[in-house]
Amino acid sequence: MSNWLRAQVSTEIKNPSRDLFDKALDDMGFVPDYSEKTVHGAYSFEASEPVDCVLRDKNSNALTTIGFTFNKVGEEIVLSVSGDFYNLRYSGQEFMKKLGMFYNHENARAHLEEQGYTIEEVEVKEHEIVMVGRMAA
Amino acid sequence: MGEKRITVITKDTGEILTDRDGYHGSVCAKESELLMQAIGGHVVEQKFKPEYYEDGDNPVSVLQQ
Repeated sequence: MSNWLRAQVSTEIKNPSRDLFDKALDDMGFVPDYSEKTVHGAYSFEASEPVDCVLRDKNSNALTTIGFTFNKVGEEIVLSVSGDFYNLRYSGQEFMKKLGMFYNHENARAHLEEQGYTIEEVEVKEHEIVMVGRMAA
Repeated sequence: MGEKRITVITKDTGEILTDRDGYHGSVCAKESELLMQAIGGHVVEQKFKPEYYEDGDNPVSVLQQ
């Protein structure tokens, strides 16, 4: 006997865990560089913006044109993305949706591993991630 | 000695599905609910497996909105 439970989480990332944020970006093929505080556009005539980190391509280590800012809104820290998405497959909004998906996945994975599960399968599809964990009972 | 198995499907809409095998339904639901709470979600629906197998062996397609 088993059952399915469906839940909804926010697609905005509020009060992000830096560890989960880094892991989610790693899943997407990026590494955040916290020493870089300005994101530049793909072309010299584009304005630069101050950010808290700029993404590097995980494989080439090249700086991308995407940066993140951790904004304090009331008592919450809200993550926002800025930059030039021209060279990527995603728009800024789609990029945040993907990041939210990977962030929630890494959050669930961390919780399951804390409970003693071994993650045996992870399948990344276009709009969802399927994860299977097992544990001896 | 048995085995616990859990499937978690995370979607880019913020929707998360969990399936727990090997327990009575109410225990499955409780463990899944705790997972959802741990990651900041709120439960919107719970169904037993047969209802989600209307489309072959793919419970996801039934849930997509």
